[in-house]
Amino acid sequence: MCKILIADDEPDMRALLADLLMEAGHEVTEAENGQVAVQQVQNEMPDLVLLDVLMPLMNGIQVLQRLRDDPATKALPVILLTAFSLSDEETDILDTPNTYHVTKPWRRGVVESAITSALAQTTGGI
Amino acid sequence: MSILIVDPSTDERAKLKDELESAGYEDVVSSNSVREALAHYGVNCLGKLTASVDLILMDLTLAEDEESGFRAGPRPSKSNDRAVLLGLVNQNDPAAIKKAAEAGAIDVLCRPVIKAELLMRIRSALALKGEREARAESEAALEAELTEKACELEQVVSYTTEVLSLASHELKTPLANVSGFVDMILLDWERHGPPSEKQQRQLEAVQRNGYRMDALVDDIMAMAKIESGTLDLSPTDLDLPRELEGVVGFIQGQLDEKHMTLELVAPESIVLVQADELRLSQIMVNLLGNACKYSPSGSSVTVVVQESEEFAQIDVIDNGFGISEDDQINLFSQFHRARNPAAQVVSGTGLGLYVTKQLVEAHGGKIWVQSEEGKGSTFSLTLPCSKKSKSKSKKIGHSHQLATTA
Repeated sequence: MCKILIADDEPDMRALLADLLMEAGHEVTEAENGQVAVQQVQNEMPDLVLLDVLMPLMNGIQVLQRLRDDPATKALPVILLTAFSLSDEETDILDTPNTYHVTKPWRRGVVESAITSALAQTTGGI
Repeated sequence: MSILIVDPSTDERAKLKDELESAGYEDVVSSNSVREALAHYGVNCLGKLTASVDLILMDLTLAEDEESGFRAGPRPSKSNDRAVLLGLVNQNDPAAIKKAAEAGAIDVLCRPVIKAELLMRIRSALALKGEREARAESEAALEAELTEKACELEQVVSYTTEVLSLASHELKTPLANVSGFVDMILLDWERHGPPSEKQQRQLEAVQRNGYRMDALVDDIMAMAKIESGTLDLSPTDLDLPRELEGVVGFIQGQLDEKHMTLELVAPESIVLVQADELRLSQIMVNLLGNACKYSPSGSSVTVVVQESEEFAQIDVIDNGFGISEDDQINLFSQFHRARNPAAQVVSGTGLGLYVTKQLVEAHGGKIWVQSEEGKGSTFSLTLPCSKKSKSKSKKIGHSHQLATTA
């Protein structure tokens, strides 16, 4: 069982991901915008973050940048969820370690397998 | 008008100059050769010379080097902003006339020169030059206008593309929700058997996201109709408060999702408006959907219906983030969102308010907004009251009269 943070401004999207993750036996916390997400990461220290890109106050790319700049969260597994293609500048950050990318709408199993490989990476590393 | 005379004969030059000056031409210069004329105007080539004067009256029996120099140069009468050339030739000298034609002269004047003929030729040559210039100017203006229109068109095409791309991105989130929740439900049924409370909640989410996509597709289709001028309304008499209660059903899911409440304040009596039922629903789904989307969780939305003589007014009041003055300016205009990428902090296409305004105006109503950042927004619209409600009250009056007489 892992602790997973879901950051998405769409309540339904959070509920969907929460159902999915709880079904798999994980513990879930939620953030409705980028600022809350950064705070939650600091407070809760989750094992994995599911991060939507288009969010108010601070978008997912900015959140990810912030996490990668902080030594404590430099290698925290993050799965970016996007509904559209990213700019070249934005795709650069996908190359940072333990960063994964899933586009909406996804086929069944895509999120699950991204989660599995993201979590395997860290446990393997430890 | 400036005229240059080039003639090697001093007497003839003086005579022509006098005649032109006596006819009112003030700026007349005479030279004995092209070379002297160049020196007079302080220019070094024929091109510059022909740009310095309006008309050149030139003897075409000049020395060979002079002629060839002129022939090799730009043809004065063919360029728009340059002097027209009138050739001065001896009568019965076909070679000189041919030379004049080759040098680009628009006409020739035969010696001996008769004053009246000289003035006529000069006048018509200058008139022709004026016409050419005017035509060139209007052509240039037309070209500039066409270029500007082409730019505008290009901009519109790029905005349309941007809106369509926003719309398709926007469709992906509810679509991911729909397919995701359906997947979860099916998986759950496989594992745990028949529907549970959780599955009911998930099915509601499916429905809610279905409505969202439906509304978005409606807006895209409405925009296509507005753009092609094929938007038709089928207005009927509608009881506004009852219609609004019906519309709330479509967005109840969105309200529940954010734990928001909606209050409808309307007169007890029926308020009849003339409106297309589907379009009225589309208008209200857009306004209520926005109120919901741009308000914090747990806040409330109030809808107030008021009736005046000719119009019914609907106010949608939220306690949301509000809209800055800058954003209010083009809020209802097409491509507002596409033009303001900075406004995309919260997702959306910017199609909704444009379509809403067009629909309200197609009904003969108006729409406006009052808002302050951080203090919520009030969107107000008017719809024409049904004529029948008036004739109905007349009828009631009439029957009342009948009753009293009876």
